[in-house]
Amino acid sequence: MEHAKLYQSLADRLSKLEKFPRMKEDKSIALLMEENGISRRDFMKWAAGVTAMLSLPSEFTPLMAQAAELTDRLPVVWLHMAECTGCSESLLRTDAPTIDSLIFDYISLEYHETLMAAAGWQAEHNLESAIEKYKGKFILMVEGGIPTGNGGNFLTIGPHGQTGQASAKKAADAAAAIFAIGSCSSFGGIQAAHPNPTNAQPLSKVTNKPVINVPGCPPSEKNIVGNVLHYILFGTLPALDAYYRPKWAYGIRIHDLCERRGHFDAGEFVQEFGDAGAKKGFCLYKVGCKGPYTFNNCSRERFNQHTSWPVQAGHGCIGCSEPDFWDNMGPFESPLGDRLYNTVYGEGADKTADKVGVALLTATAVGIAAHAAIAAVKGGGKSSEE
Amino acid sequence: MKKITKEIIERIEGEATLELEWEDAKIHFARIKFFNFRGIENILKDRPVYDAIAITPRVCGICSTSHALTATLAIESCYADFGEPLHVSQKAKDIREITLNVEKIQNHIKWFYFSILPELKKISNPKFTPNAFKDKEWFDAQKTIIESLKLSSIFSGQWPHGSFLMSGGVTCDPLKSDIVQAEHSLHTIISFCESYLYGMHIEEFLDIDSSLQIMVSDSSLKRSIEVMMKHGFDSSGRSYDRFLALGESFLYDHASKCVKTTVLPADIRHVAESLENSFFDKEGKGYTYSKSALYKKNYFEVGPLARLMMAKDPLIRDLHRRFKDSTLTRIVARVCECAHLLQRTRVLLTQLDIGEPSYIKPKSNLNYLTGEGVGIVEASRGTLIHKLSVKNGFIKEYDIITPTVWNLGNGTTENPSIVQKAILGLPSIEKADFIFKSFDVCSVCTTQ
Repeated sequence: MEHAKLYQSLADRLSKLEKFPRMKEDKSIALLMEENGISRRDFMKWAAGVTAMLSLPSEFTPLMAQAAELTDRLPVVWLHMAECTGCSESLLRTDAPTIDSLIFDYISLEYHETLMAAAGWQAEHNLESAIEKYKGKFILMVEGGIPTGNGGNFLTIGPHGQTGQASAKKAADAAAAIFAIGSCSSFGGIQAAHPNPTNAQPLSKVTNKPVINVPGCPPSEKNIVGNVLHYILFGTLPALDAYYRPKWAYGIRIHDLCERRGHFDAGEFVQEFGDAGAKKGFCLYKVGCKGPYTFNNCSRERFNQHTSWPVQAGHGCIGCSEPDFWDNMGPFESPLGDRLYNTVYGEGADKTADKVGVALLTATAVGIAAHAAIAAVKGGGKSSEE
Repeated sequence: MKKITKEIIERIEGEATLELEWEDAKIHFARIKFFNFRGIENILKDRPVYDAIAITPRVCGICSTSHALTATLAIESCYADFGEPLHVSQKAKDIREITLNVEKIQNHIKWFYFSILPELKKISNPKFTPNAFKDKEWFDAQKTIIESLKLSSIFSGQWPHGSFLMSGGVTCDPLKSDIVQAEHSLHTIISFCESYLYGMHIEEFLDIDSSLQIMVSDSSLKRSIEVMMKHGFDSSGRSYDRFLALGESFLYDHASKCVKTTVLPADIRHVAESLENSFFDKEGKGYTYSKSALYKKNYFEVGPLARLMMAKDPLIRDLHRRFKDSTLTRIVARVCECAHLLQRTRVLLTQLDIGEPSYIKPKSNLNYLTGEGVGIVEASRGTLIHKLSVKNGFIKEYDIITPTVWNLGNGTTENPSIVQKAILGLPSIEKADFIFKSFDVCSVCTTQ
C-alpha cells in the first residue's frame, strides 16, 4: 500500500486510544448505531465519505470507522459565548447522515447548554466537573465571539457570574485541543463588526494555546465532525492555512468547485435578480457573489443533508468564512471588484490582502473584475435581450 | 419571611438568571436577568440597507428566516414610504410563507421534544435522568427536525441563515422536482406528528373542538396533558389574559389584540419600547440587558396562544374556557399551531405556481432610497418587529423588538410583566422553571 507507514502509525494511535476507558460504560457507539437503525453498511458508507473529505486515501476507511467508534474516549466540552446559537443549530440538529449528530450528541453531552438534559446548577456543575475530570484530555469547542469591552461584562455566565472571557480561558487552559467553531469564535463575527460595541474578540486572542479555526456562519457540521475525527486519527493539528483553518476543508475557494462556474467561464452572468439569466442558473458574480474570495467547501459539501447551499438558492456567497467579512465583503448584492480601492468602510479586499500578504487575492480580484466587465460586452448583453 | 434566591435557566438558546424573592415559601417577585449583549442595532447603523437582510438573521440562530423576512418587509415598506410600493409576486409570497412556516414547525417540535417532554418526565418522576439514546421517539423527533430543515433549505439554500430573500421577491427559482422533494419531506414530518404527537390524522386533529377529544387516542400530547393536570399546571402559569398578534397570518384576518375573549383591531403605532430596569436606563438601576415592549403602556402576551386566540380556534377557545391562559393552554396551543402550519404548508406547496416571476426589481435607484419602514412578522415565539430609517440607501437607525421581549418585560412588583406575573405565588423553582420554558424563551434574541 502506498501510504503504509501513515496507515500503520494511525492504527497504532487508535489501538492506544482504545485502551482508554469509555466515558459511558453502558453503551458503545457501535451499539448505539445499531439500536437506532443505522446499519453497518450505512456506517461504512459514511466513513468512506469522511475519509474522502479529509483527503485521505480510500484504504483508510476502516480506520475512519474505528476512529468514529472511539470518539467516546474523548469528551467534547462545548462553550457558548456571544452568539446566536446558529452553529449548534447547524451541528446538532440540522444535518445528516444522522451519524454525525449521533456521535456528537453522544460525546458532547458533558456540557452543551442548549441541548443538555441537566439544567440550572446541575448543568454548571457538570461543566466544572467535566473540566476537572478530563483535564488535559478533552476537546474544547467554543461557539461565539468573546466580548472584552466593559471588563468583559457584556457576557457573564454560570453561578459565579464569571465573564465569558474568564470561563473560555479557564476551559482552554485545561483542554487537549481547541476548536473555534463558527466565524464569531474564529474571527469575532457579527458582534465584532464595525463599530464592535462590545469589543468582541476571537477565541485565539484570549488563550495562548493554538486554536484551530472552523469558520462559517454557520460552518457545515461536516467540517466540525471532520475535525474531531482528524484529531482522533492523528492526535496533532491538521495542516492549516494563514488563518488557522484546516486545509482539508478550507483549502479551495467556493468558486473553484461552484456548480455555476461553467457560466462564469463562458461569461454568462445574472445581471440582476429575477432576470432570464437567473432562471437559467447563470453565474452570480455580478449580483455580489463572494465565492471567488472565499475559502470553504460549501460548493462540494452543501448544507442540510447535501440538499442545497446559498448559491443554489440563487443568492451569491457572502463570504462568511473569511475574517471580518461583515465589514469587508458588503454590500452583499454588489460585486467586490467594483470597489477594490474604495469601499464603504475603507477596508476593501485590497487591504485584507495586504494584511495577510496574500497578494494573489488582489490579482485574482482584478482579473475577475476585468473578466466580468469584458463579459458584459460580449456575453451579458445577449441574455438581457432575450 | 423574605429571602432571595438565584437560579439559572438553561436550554433557552443561551441562559437567563432568575432572581426570586420568596415570601411565606411562595414566589413574591421575580427578576429575570440576561447578561449577554452584542449590540446588533448599533452595528447595523450606517450600513448599506440590504445588509440588514444578511445581518439581522444573526440575531438568532433558531429563527433566522423570520428575522431575514422581517428585515425584507421593513425595506419594502421603506420603498413604499419613498413613493414606490413594491409588487411581490404570489409565488414569492408563498415561498416566503413556506419557509417561515417550516421554521415554526421545526421550532415547535424541537421545543416540545427537547424542552417540554424531558421536563415533564422529570416532574412526574424526580429520579428520572433523561437518556436521549434510549428513547426512540426522541431520536425520531430529531430526524423529523432534520427533515423540516431540509425542506426549508430547498428554498433558502441552507438553514439556519439562508440567503434567498430580497426586497421585491426571493432569489430562488425552484423547479417542479424541488417541489416534489419538498412535498416528500413534508409528508415525512406529518407522518411523525400523526403517529407520535397527535395520535391521529392532522385533519382529524384540526376538526377537534373540545379538549376532551384530544384524550381519546394515545399520544405524547395526551400524556403530557395528563402530567400537567396532575401537577396543577392547568391552574398555574396564568398571566394577564391579554394577547397581541401584529403580524399577518393565515389564521386570522388582520392585526389584533385580544383581551380575555374579545378580539379587537390593533395598530403598530401603539407599540413602545421601554428601557425601565435595563442597563440602558439612564437612572442606573438596571439589572439586565433585556428591554421591555409595551402596547398602550400595557404588557401583552405574544406567541402561538395569542395567534390562536385571534383565530378563535375552537379547541384553544375550549381550553381557554376551562383553564384560562394557564401553562396547559399555552403548551397545547403551540402543539396545535404546529398542526395548522403543517396543513397550510401542504396547501401552499400544492398551489405554488412556479411559472410566476420570483423577483421584480424595484425601479427606484437604491442610492437615493430615503424613508422609514416597518416590518412585522409572526415568528415562532410571537410578533417580531423591525423598524428602520434609511437615507440615500444607508441605514440611519434600526430597531428590533423580538417576541421574547414582549413576554419577558422587566416589570415591577406593582406592574409585573407577562412571565413575571405567571410565576408569582408558585411554591417551587421547578414549577417556575417549567412555566418559564412554556413561553419558549430565547435568550439570544432578547438582548441581541
